Amino acid sequence: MPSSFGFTNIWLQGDWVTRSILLLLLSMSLASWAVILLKALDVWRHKENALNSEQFWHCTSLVEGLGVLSQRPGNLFFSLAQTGQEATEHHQAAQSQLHDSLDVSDWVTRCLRNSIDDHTNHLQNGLAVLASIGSTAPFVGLFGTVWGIYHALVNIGTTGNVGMDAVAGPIGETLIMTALGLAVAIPAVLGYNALVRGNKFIIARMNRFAHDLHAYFVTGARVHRAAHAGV
Amino acid sequence: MPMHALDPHHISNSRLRNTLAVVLLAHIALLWVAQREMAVLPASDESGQVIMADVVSDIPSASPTPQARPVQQVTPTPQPVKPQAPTQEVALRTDSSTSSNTSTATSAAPPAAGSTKVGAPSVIEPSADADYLKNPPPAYPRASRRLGEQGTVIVRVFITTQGLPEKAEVRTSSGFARLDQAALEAVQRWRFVPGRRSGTPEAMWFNIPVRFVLE
Repeated sequence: MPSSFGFTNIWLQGDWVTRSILLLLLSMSLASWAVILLKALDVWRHKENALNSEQFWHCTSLVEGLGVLSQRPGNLFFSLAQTGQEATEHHQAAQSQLHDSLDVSDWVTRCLRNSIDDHTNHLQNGLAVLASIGSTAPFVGLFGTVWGIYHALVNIGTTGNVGMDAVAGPIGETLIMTALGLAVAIPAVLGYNALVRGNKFIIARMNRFAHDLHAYFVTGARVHRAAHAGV
Repeated sequence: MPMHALDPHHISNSRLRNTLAVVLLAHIALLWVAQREMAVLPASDESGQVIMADVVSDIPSASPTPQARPVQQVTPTPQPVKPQAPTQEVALRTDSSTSSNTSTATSAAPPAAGSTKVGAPSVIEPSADADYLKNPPPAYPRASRRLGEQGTVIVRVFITTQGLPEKAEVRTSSGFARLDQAALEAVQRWRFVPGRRSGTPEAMWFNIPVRFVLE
């Protein structure tokens, strides 16, 4: 005997529109939760790295600092420091004549800025999915409900059965679609906001780190050379 | 240097697969729980289109006509013979009579009963199927409906001269406690036409079969 309520009933009694809406909502939910989980792990990892990026400045040399940063896998700050180092090395290696040289400050700034932009882009991967799901899922659910109520009412109209049970049952059931839409949308919106907040923190820390790197590569390197000359 | 150290944004296939598996399992679990929760929701009790409980009163006695509301003084009968035994036998018979059947029997039965029991005071059983009593059939318990439980409960009721069920107990179980309980509760809300002995209303026991049939 089939159960006369719940999801199975909706599925069994629904037409292809109802079924595809249910499938759509399910896939939306799967996608949003997958994105939330993957991104949350990433953001958490990047935050840890951001908080630990201070260690870089307690190292005695650039090589040691890079070593410390590279111990953590997928470290954005290691990537930034590496970019800065490569930029300085490239700058030093590429100037054949004194008047050829682009200002080292400009060059390092530019390289670091590009790197930060790339990382920011990557950090925001998947957020568009969450935003879309968060804003459309309630409407998808609502569409399912309207569709279901329409058919329920047409049924009542054709059969002439206007009892409370004939009206309340089917309409009550189609309201589940709205509930499902909301159940999909709410985590997506909350997850989106949380991830955006986490990304902001990481981007702010990257900017600060890049400023420090810039100062180090522009001035620190010179200090380093001066110290060498002194020895 | 491993790949992920170079590209901080790389998501390995295994991680993607694991995450998707976790999310999928969580969804299945949630849907299962939601389905179960909705199944016990009392609010959708009304969603069933057919009330599938069927009340059958197959006592071949005449149901008194609507004028038979007892207002007269109850005279205690000298011999307190409970009309229990014949009622049980009749009630336990499998029922084939419908309401039309009983109404046709209305005119025929009392004289027949009277003629067989010569000398004994004519006893008219209480009845519950008169239209004006408006006795609602018991609600089919949701869980029983889902599990496909069917059966006939025979409820034994003590009906006062006012037609009110004073005591009720399950006489023969349907085999399902839920159905028994539903029948018992429904019967206790009913009104009855009181039984009569020699035309005088009298409090007596009465067996009511309540049949639960799924359609």
